[in-house]
Amino acid sequence: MFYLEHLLNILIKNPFRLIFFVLSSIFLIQVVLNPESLLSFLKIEQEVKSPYFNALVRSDENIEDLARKLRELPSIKRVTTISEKKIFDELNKTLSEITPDSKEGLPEDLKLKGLKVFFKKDASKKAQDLTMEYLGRLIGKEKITLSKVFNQEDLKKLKTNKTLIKKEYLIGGAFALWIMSCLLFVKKFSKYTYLLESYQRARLIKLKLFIALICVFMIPLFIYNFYIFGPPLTKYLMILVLFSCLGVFCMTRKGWAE
Amino acid sequence: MQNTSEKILTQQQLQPSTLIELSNIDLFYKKFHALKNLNLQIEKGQILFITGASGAGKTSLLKIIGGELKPTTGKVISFSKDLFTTQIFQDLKLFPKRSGRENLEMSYDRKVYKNKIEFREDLEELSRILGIYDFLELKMSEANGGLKQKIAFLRAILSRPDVIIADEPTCSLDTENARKIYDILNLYNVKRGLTVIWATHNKELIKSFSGKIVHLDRGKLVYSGHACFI
Repeated sequence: MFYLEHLLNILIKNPFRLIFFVLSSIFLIQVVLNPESLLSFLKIEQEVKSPYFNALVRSDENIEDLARKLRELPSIKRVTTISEKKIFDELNKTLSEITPDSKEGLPEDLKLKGLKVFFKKDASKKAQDLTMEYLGRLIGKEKITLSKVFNQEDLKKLKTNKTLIKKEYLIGGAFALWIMSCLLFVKKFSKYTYLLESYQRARLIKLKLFIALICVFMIPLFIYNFYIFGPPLTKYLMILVLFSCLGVFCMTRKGWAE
Repeated sequence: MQNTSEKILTQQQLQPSTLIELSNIDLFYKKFHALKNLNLQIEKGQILFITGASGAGKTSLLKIIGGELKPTTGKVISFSKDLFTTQIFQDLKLFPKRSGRENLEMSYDRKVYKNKIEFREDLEELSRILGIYDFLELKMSEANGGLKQKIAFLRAILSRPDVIIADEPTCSLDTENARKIYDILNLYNVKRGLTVIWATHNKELIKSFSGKIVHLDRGKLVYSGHACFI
């Protein structure tokens, strides 16, 4: 409670710095752990290199569970989910393009969600077919609509004029932003903890306050990512190393004592 | 029998016990010899004034006692395991965008105070003695030097330390206000056995007080004795 209280105190007195730090940390974690979901959330088109197919399922099906089961397959690179609203809008748009004079839209009770399943580059045709068949068996063939698999040649034809962004650039940008926010935040954090350590009998306040900060803001994000997108453990380790470096940097700064 | 042991205990309590000992301290800043073979014993409940001209090594000595600086050679021995030392910094180290009260609340230690009410009572009483109670809500960026100095002093004293290290705590204050600060330190010295280590230029002020004086001249300890003999 003592540490949470002081964390809140730092937050209230330095809202810009702390919010900037927390947001840039969330951004960095999300970019490293699951760039696809972030790119689709930000509505940024990604450079597609892997073959993929789309699937439409009824909204009452557990789409996250389906996605998780698919991710466990060896030939799958990644799986993204598409919301009900996005599907409805897309279908409405397509319908109005096909029948521009029609006043009737889609029926209100048409509730569908989507899956975009990306194969690894080296996934064989047989593996692709087996995956689609597995998906059909998982949910029932009558409850799912599958597209064809779009391979390299199809992708070349499909390429649009939309801005493409490489994952690497996004990670680089997020990292630069995070470093900037760290420098701004650590300065205030060190000053505050230096005074606390000067006037309180508790020990290792700086370290404990830093751990409290990580627990409050970062751990929930880790759990969310782990539960929803599965465990790319090396990436989690990477994040952990980054935050440990920040922790060491924090501990070595003397705040006001120089 | 019981009487004798009580008597011995009282005698032991009355005997000054060494709290911190500095032995053969030398300090170099690159080639500059800041402190030269300094030996000093600080006793529990003592009021120790460190005097000397600017650059004599007062701040360096305080930093060594406070553990902020390591001597180049020599030893600093603390005879108490749970010794809690606080400092009144020369540059005050106050949050400029926070009010006096908010700065003071950094000292609210749950290990010392039963609850926040007790802390606030102490805060109120001491701030009234210093005559700053009405200015506690003022932001430090808007406060004058004297008020800032009093807040910094109060913040240190409110943490109820065993040892207080003060680097020129009254340099922005007139003699009357400096005396108020000294009176509070003296009160805590008598009431709680607070040990005070105070660096100052103000010889006129310390002449009238009891306590030990250590005078430094270009890093060398040249006088150590009672304040009244200066």
